[in-house]
Amino acid sequence: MMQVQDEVVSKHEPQTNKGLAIKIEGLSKFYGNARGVIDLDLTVAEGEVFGFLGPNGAGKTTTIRLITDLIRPSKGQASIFGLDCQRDSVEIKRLIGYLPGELALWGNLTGAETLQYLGNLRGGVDVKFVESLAQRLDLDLRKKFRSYSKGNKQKVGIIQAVMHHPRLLILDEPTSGLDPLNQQEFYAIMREAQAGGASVFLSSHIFEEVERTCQRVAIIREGRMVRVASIHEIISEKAHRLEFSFSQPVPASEFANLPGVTSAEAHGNNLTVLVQGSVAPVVKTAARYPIVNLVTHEPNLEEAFLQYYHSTGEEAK
Amino acid sequence: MLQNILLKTIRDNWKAIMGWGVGMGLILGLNLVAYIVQYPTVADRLRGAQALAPLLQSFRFLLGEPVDVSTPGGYLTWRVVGFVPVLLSIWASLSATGSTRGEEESGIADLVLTTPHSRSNVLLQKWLGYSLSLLGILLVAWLVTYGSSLAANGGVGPLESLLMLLNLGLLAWFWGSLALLIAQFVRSRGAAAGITIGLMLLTYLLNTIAGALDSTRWLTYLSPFRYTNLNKPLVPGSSFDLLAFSIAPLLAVASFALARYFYLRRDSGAALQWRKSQPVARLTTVNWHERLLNNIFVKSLRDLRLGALWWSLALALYCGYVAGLGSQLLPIIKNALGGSNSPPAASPVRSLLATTWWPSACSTSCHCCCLATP
Repeated sequence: MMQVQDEVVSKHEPQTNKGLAIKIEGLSKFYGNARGVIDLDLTVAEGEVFGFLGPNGAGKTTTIRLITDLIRPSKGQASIFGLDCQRDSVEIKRLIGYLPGELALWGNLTGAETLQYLGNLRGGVDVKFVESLAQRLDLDLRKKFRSYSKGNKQKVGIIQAVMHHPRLLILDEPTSGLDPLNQQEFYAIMREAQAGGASVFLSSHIFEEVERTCQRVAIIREGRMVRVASIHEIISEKAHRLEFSFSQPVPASEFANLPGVTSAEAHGNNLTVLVQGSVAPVVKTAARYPIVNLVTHEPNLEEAFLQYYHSTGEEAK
Repeated sequence: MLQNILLKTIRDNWKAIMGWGVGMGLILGLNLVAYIVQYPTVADRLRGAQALAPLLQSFRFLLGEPVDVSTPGGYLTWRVVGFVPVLLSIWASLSATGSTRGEEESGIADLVLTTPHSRSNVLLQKWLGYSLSLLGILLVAWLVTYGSSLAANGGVGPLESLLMLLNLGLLAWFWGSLALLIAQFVRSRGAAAGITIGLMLLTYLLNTIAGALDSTRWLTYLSPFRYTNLNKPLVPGSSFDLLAFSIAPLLAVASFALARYFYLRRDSGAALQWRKSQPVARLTTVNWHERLLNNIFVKSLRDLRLGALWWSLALALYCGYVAGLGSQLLPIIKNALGGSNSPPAASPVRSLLATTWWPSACSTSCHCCCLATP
């Protein structure tokens, strides 16, 4: 399993001349009787937006807590911008902005006080920039943190993560609790950060979010990295589904042997074909028969992810 | 006050500084004023001291070594100074663990620890913040105590009262620092503070009860209270033992140094692990037949079982200890109760017992409240 994984990872090293924002080598964390993460290998290029996908309890947050030095690895190592995550943690913390998955802050401080304090701990931030972020996210900074709704608390978390213009943003489910309008604003903030040269390490459950913002993704399952690839690669591996309706029955065997076809099933006048890669040979063959209707299903990351997960799950069994 | 972690910690303790400072000052000040009003002249005080002398001698096992109560300072030392550090240490334990383990429990520590400060620096600032808050309480208490003394036209001097409070405060400082150390081994603030307060009460009783008997007096060397009680700055003519005065702060600094050592070596939010964990392929199976989750009543029992176990053990140990010493303590108690030849003698005894047990009952209630608070 590990050998396969190594091959997968090395095949998909980031294609860039820039340095690495994150490098993880053989990173493992064991917790007593509970599984943590096992032998993770990963690289994130500088300037890249990298998605980190996995079901609940797969080890996403553990990985993030390891690279932020909140917890210590059982073995392996991680570095950020070439600095060791444990040895150079203070220097690294100057370069990162972090939004935890479960945000907790001081209930007795207002939003402004919270950001002021965290800004002071970072050596001071541009107040005008903080105010502009709050305005964009429609956040009233005068309220106490305890009185905020979940979405507004999340906005405070987002602002504190980006307010000091970090070189690397580490975001654990950043849009959790945000309404669609504020989600769009958050994506805009993230794009601006990336345009300014920042790298983003984004852990998320929302496939659409990852698909539209990330260049590459890693999929983690039961503590092990099972796939690291570009979004395009993962999606292209997923078959297109073509559903034909003809005015007469057609032989499925004629389609089954076409290049890229993984499955062809006929039911009366209907034919369903699964194709990986180009659909041209299938369409050309179908054109020889009287087509009444054609429906195509474009693969997306979610389908690819679920398919991948399903297959790896079966393999595991 | 939001400039750094140290100032933020003091800011968080602001209400406690005022509340505990004024409260402690009032306990000391009102007792002082009451004494001066009740015994206005030197002759009154001498008579009062003479009446109390046999009681003080007999109830050493509850009150510690007797002192000269013919002066306001001596009376205050006997009446109040013994239990004030117990109350203050409860606050110290809760405060020291609140800003550290408490923030880890809530998850706030994750964000603080991802700002550009080393773990060591974060812990140091929090500990210093707690220490300065304690100093703030002492200063407020001193202002109220000395103010009361001035209002009552005499009583205790400014330097003596400051030294007395500092002596007590250093002991509380140690207990708070010890709580910080214990917090490295447990996952919750309540557990760390609870264990510390339990240890404190144990050593308090050890100092008073064991100190009353020659055969067990050596045990008092194990109690930090012994060293604090050696210095009685309010008692006129008492000597100052610098070594005894230094023991609590030395223990406090040592506790912090150890806490820092362990804090740097553990995961944030977790307790220190002694054994290295091994990889586990699958999550362990779940017990779906937990009987203690059948209804609210048994769930409540389940929640309280650990606390109940420790309290039962502590009480059993205490009872066993007192029962073991019973044969030696009985003559002392008989002497105290039957030794007085005037009929109202029973009244000061009862009053003495009430005075002695009130602080214990109070601190026990505080502890129960702390443990019961989720």
